[in-house]
Amino acid sequence: MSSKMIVLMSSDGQSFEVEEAVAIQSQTIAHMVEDDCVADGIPLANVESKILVKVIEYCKKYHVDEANPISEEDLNKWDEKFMDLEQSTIFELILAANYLNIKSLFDLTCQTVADMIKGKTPEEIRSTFNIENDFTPEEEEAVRKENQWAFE
Amino acid sequence: MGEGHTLFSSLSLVQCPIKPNRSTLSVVQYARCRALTLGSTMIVPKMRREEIKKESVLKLLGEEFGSTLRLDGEERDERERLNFADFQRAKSVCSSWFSTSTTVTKNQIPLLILFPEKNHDNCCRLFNPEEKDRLYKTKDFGVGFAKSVCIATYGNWLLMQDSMYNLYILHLFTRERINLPSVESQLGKVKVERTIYDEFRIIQDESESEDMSIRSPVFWIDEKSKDYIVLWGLKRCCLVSAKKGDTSWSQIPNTSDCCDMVYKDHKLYFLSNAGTFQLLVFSGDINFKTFKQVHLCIDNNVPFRGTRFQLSDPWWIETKLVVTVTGNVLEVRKMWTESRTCSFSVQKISSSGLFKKYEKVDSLGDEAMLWDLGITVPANDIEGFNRNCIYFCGSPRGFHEKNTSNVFLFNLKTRKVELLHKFDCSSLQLSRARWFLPSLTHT
Repeated sequence: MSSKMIVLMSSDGQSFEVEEAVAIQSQTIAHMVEDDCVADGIPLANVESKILVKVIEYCKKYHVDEANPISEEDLNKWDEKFMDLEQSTIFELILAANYLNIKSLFDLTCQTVADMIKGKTPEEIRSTFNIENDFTPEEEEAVRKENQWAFE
Repeated sequence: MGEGHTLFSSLSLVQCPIKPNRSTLSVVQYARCRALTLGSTMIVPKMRREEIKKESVLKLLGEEFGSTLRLDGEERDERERLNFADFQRAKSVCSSWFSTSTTVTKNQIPLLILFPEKNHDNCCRLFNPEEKDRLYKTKDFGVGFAKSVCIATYGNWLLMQDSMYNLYILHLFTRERINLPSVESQLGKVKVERTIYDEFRIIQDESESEDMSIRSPVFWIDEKSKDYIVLWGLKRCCLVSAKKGDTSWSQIPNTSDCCDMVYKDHKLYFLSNAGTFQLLVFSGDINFKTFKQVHLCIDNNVPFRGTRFQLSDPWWIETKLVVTVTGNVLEVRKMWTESRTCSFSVQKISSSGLFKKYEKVDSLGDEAMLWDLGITVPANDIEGFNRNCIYFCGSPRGFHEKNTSNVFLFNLKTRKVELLHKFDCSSLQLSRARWFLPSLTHT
């Protein structure tokens, strides 16, 4: 018995064939399947192929059944390896997980960023993630007043 | 991603005007309709698109960090993304993360504040039991800070008393200062005079005494409006209070001989040395609020409640009033025994008619007691805090030492004192420590 396949199209024109059961871990895709409009493939305007590949990899791993019996412990170990990515890729994954509405991937990516922030000063955080200090003068003043903690 | 927590689900989904059918065009429309994110049009030049994406991610993360610190029972995510200190730092990184910090947390995380020794610097240190190997240093409070003593805390504010019995409230982070009426400005039967050598004469009815004493001070302050109320026991005479705008202390009738009190949710819980318990509520019209007694019960056994020495074991007893999360009132005794150990006995107070009833409490359940604050907090959600324990500060040399920079906990189950943390006093020159509950709202 062959499983139903869905075609996902990345923003840069590449097509990926995925089992429906794997793809519907994305709530967005699940809704479209329910509404029966996936026949001609699903264009994902916001997801590049490079990122879509990772998303599909994740969904395949997390589609646990008899063919893919994997323990939670092993999944956690796999998560760590999976998230060993460049910071810009992690950010792209956050957006993709949000856009595709895949809760577990969203949680994983956000937690990875949180873990990277732990214990860092604001300057270090900005340099790690290449974030610009974009406070307005009023906000800057309020932040300065409120967070007067030096670090020893 | 539950409701309202992410940008995705918080945007209202645009309904497609046409019912989606199998043609490619309407599928594209449908995809765009069902899932909107910021700046996703193809026409925008690539560089700008990258910036917009960056902004979206930062906003998403900001909401995640802010929402998982919102401890509202069911809405809480299983994993807290950032602890309190990290969250404070993250707020300073960029405007997307700063603006999400307006969420109010119901739960608060106790921190320990360590005060500097005189002649050392004028900065406080903050200790988070979750991060045992770090100390956070506040900015300099200026000359003279180390000569004042912190006698109470509320949220991010400290109630300070200087060497001349001047009282003021100080914000821990912004260093804003609110001066309080001088202690000799009193409205009521008891008169207080300050002599030329900054000593005092306290006159009640026919008797006179010297020595000022400020007992069990408590206060409340609203972060935004700076509305406040401060209360303390004037020696054995009565309780006094002052609110924002007052130029004198108002004496509260029928409240004498203060053993201890707690001010919580605008209710004043008062225990006198004779064992009388009173509950007063601060209410009334906006312009004329007073304390109204709603409950009173007396103790038919008469042991004196105040801190005292005894000849028998235990030879030192201190009695405190503690109000729990759910509003139960506890009378807690801290005792030092012959064997130089410290132990606690906890009793719940209730009343049967006019008389006070005691019920022994063996366990605080999921709560932890903060001796300094006279309250309990739910401990299960706080890293570094154990349930069913009493957290207090002391000195390794004994109860009477003023230097209270060791942090202990009394485990109600094992009935033993454990050392939570020992601070290196020699290098840090710390004089006192106390627990406080900083508020996480954006001032």
